[in-house]
Amino acid sequence: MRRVSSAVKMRATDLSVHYGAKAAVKTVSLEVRANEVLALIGPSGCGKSTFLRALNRMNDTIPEARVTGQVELDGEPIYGPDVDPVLVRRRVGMVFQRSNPFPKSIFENVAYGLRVAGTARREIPDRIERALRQAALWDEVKDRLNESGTGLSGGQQQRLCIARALAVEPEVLLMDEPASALDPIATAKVEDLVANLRETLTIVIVTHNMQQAARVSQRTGFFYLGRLVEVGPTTDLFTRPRERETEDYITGRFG
Amino acid sequence: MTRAHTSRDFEAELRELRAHMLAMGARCERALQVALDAFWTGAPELAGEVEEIDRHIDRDEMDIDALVLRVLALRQPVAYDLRFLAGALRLVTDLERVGDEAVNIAERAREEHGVAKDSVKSELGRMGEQSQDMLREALEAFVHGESVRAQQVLARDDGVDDLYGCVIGAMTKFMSQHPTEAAEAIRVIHVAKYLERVADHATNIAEEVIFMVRGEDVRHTRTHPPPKVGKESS
Repeated sequence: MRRVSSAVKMRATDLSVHYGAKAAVKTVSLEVRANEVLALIGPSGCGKSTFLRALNRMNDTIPEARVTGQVELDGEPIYGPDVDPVLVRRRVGMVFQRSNPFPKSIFENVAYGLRVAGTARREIPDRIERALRQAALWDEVKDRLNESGTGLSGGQQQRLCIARALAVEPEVLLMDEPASALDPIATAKVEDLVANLRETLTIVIVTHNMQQAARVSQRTGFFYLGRLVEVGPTTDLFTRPRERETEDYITGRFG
Repeated sequence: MTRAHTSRDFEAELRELRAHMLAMGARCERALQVALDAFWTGAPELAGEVEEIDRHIDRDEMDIDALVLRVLALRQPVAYDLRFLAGALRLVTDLERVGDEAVNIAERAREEHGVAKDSVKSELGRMGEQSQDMLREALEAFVHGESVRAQQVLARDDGVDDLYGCVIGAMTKFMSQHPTEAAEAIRVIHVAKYLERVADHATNIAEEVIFMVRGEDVRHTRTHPPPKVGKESS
């Protein structure tokens, strides 16, 4: 397996996110290293998804959300008056829990981001093939690119959404429960995909499935009540966590 | 030691496993005690009792292995639970071997006895007491999850090794003085070896307890002085 580089790709410093008066994320500082898979685990409502969404300014779309602290991408702040959140999201892509293909053809689903980004028309077919290959979907759909994306199986739809995110060639991919609605075989394909994608990009994955976190990630962070309780090498966290709260959660001694 | 598991079934399985391991440990202590009684009193009828206990210990090992595998497959445990289950698999192997050593000792009770064992009664007697005590302390450390207590067991292994060296030295001398009774001296050396092995298994159990409690693998980290073979008893 490829070693995790020690280079920091993204860095959150004292990051807090409030929804109205409620603090969903409380002064979290956490770095994401280049070409690693960082898993974020924790019970529902612990702030892990909110934290994830803060990494590409997805919380900007929620009117009552207020973000304080800073997030850097390659050392440059992503929050600031002169930063275009659309450009941030092009470099930091996102895949959601529920696959949400557009009611368009498979081709158009993947082409969408490229068209928005103004990619030259003649480049688009090659870029689509590359993205679908990266998403391990090409062989299954290459003969029916003009069929609707919504006609694919659940697992294929999720890989289509991953291809759509990859088409614009992001540097970081954020994945929010990407396999929670999939059967074990489709899940295994997505996990395999995550392992391969790490060659070229950096991945942060939020998951409720601790075995999945253990399988796919090199480092894992545990969130509880909006705080980052502990982050460390995945093997250490699942064999001898440092914090009692982590131990209680991962062994199922919670609540 | 740890809070109860949210899943009551899982909690019940862990409790069952712990209880079964404690019962197995108690049987090992009993087997060793009866075996030593048999050896010292030369009562071969006790050897049969040791064999009966050992058969029970063997069944314990298989039952516990099956239970651990079931829990691993169904619960995919992590952290303390994972260390406990991985440690349990190793711990029962050591206990099962303690049972085998007890049988070996008891079998020597069936053989002819002379004066050889009386000449090392003190050393061999202390070996028996100390290895029994190490086993008891290692199991107590397991029951209470006390890594400090387990650490104290580790420190005692060298003392048993030294006594083993004394017995070998004394028996070597005995054989040169009583060449016709060499077979008996060799039997005494065998018993000393069995007891030395029991102390090693107790040491392994203590190491497993430390791993369960602290997550530290302390195997193969201690430096042992070589056994002082041939040293006269003091």
